[in-house]
Amino acid sequence: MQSTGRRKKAQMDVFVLLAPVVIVFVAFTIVPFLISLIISFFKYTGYGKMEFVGLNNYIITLTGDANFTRSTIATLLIFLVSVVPQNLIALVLALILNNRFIKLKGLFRAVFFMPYITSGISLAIVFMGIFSVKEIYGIANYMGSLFGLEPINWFANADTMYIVIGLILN
Amino acid sequence: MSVPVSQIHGSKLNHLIFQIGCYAVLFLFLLFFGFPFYMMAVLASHTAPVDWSQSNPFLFGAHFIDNALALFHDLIFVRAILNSIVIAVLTTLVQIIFCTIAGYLFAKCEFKFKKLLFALIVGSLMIPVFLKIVPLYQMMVFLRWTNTYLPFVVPAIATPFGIFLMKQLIETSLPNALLEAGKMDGLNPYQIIFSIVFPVQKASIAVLATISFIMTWNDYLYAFIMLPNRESFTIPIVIQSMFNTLGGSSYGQLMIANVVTHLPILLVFLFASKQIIRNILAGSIKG
Repeated sequence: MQSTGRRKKAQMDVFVLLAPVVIVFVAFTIVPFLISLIISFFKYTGYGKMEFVGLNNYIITLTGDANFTRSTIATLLIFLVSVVPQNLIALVLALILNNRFIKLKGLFRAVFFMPYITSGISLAIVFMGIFSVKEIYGIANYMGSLFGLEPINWFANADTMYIVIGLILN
Repeated sequence: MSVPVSQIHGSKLNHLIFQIGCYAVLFLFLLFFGFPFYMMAVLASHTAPVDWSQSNPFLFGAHFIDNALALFHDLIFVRAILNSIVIAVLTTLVQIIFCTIAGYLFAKCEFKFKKLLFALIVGSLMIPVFLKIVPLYQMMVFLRWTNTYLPFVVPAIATPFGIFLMKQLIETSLPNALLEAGKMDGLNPYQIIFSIVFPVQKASIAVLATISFIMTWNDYLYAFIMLPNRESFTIPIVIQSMFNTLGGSSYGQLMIANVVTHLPILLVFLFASKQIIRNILAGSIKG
């Protein structure tokens, strides 16, 4: 009898401690997702009246929207171009860095991690500077080269690098 | 790479070649990764537009201080630094407290709906933020929370990633014996959390704090949507708007802004990187 009472008390404590997390999680994650889902069945401009149109939005997007198909293909391409080779590179670098005889491990590790901790905006602007088409400040032009997918490559690089190196390094 | 004893004849040369090859690959990628950051610093010291046929783009120019002064003359930028610091610090603190508590409860306590709740939280990690951002914005407008710190601090109470991370770390690195000892000494659950879990999990908390600080500091889309006023901009938004208005005409200032953006992150990273790596490994080996 006493033990069930104690267990109930422990349950209460857990719920009190977890309550703010659950409330906020439901209010700011679950509810917006559901509202998004509901809106997807309506014709809605962000204000004014909502008009129920059923699956119409989905049909239009999946069949009639050229942008949608094009951007889906682009996403897949970027995924292939970035994830596959960068995983291989990250694995090779991690294996090399894992060797006993390598000196300056800290330096290499820090520089390899750096893209991961920088913001997308900064990187994008630096790359726009480097790969600018305008002749005046495009460093890449100066070096006589091309690029287009490269910035994205770098981002993906950073993420995969982080995981693999983090796992294998000692 | 250890060399087998049977190959010791003639293998010293091979070993040397192998070592040199390894270093070559490493230095190649060092250049590859370091180059953008080096260029960032270099471009910060030039006035744009520069005619590269006149000056060498890989060397530092003479205008670093001019550019910096011009940048800090802009009060919006100074204000943005303060905004970014306040938002990042507050968010990180809130995340540390609530994610540690929730992580501990999920890792070490039994209660109803635990599996379902945890599955929901981890599952929400898979769904991109774009799916919820429109209703979230409408909610924030309705609550009159736009242009304040609240849209960052309040949702940070339940950060799925932080809860997941803390649950994994606490599960592997907090000995049950400590908790049992605490219970034997008559501590209630609140005392256990604040006098055992928090002090023992300092390393895990450092990991969470680093990651959450970096994520908040770099966050662009969410901040851009929730903070439409110029006075409440954070650094990434200011850089973006500077880029739109100045364009190529003052690349130097833009790059200085970038350098300034990176400084706190680098500090946090250098300060905690050893602890992060150690802790990731501690978790992976024991788990």
